[in-house]
Amino acid sequence: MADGLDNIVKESVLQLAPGVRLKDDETREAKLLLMPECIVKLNHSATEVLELVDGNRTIENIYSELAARYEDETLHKDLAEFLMDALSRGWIELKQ
Amino acid sequence: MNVSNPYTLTMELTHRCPLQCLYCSNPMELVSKDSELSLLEWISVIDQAAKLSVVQANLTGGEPLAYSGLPKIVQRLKKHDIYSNLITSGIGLTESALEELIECGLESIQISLQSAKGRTAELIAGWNAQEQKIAAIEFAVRSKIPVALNVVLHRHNLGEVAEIIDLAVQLGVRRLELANTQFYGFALANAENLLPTQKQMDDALSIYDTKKKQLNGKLQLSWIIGDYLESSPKPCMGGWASQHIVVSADGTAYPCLAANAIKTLTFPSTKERTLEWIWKESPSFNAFRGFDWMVEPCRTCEFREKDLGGCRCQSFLLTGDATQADPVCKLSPHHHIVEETISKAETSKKELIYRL
Repeated sequence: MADGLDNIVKESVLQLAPGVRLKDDETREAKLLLMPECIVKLNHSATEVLELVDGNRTIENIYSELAARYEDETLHKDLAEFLMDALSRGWIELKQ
Repeated sequence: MNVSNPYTLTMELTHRCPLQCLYCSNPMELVSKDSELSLLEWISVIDQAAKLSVVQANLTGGEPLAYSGLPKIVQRLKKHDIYSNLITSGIGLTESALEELIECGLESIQISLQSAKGRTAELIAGWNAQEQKIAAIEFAVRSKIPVALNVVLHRHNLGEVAEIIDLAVQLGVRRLELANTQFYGFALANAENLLPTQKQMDDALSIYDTKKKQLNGKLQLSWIIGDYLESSPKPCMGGWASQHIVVSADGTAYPCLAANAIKTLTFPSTKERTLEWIWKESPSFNAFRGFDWMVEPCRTCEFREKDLGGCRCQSFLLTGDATQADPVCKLSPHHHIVEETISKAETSKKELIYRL
């Protein structure tokens, strides 16, 4: 069973939840997030984050890779919000 | 009209099913075994769906495990990298059958439960299959495939919401969908006997909210509203024929599972037409795309882009005219029909009608 959301720290490793995967959709020229109940057509920034959610990187790793790509004052806050949202929607989870 | 590609294909492989649920979502007239599509015909439907850029398939029924070609169908979906999701009662699911399906590429499974208690389940489905279902859920969870439970809610089990959630946690499933009954087809015939009171609904929803907070992500919980007790209609299927294509057991194609009810439209068959023609050109799939089909009060309504006039099937079933505003909408001139059903349900002594 997935962990609750109580124990998240920056050293937590994230992975896509079981049954969730990314698909490159040539027709729609976008990455899709496929899962049992729905399909999400990802925008560019969501794609960039979720490609880093690979079962190896910690939250801190993900942040530093994105910070190296973009100088953006709100990156930290935006990333935290996105990851919490993705966790609560069951797209991603903490690796045990 | 510029039509975008469908995302999802729902395949009703067979209408045969061991259960007789009071709210069965299959059409009123079931397809017999003799009229079911052959495996080769399904393979052709899948190949055409892949060309149309479908990326996800729901394998449903009836009970899809009763269709012998199921493993080959899963394999074909896998070949096209189409996400496959099995929607089953769990009855007839064995560990070896599940292993075979997973080897063929099955990516997720949704198992129905009628309630937390066997006795309630029996009232709803005509017989008590609870033990068999729980066993199937347990080995499905052990197999590591993502398992979702789906429980259809109504007045006979809304009082068991706490037990249903606890059972899902105990079983270790990934997700629990609590789906309030939608009143089409068989469920409409039993509406007076299934509709909860507003208080039952409010109490159950408050238990759900408390449990959801306590669980804090340990179980994915979702609550799918029943629109009779809502004040505004739902934008059915995200718009008529906008994302989803359903192919029934005999090859007839529909924009949604309930559309067979709309008798003023003739739906095309995959035996006679290509899926591409059906999706892009067929009059029935084009019937309610966009906004031109709308009549008042929808035509000039400020909410029309939000709710798309509601559900076409519901409009037809309750008014005989699929272009009317969905009668669950307070602005609909037919809203009294829904109000009357709600009011009748409070004192109803009508007999339950089981699907045979």
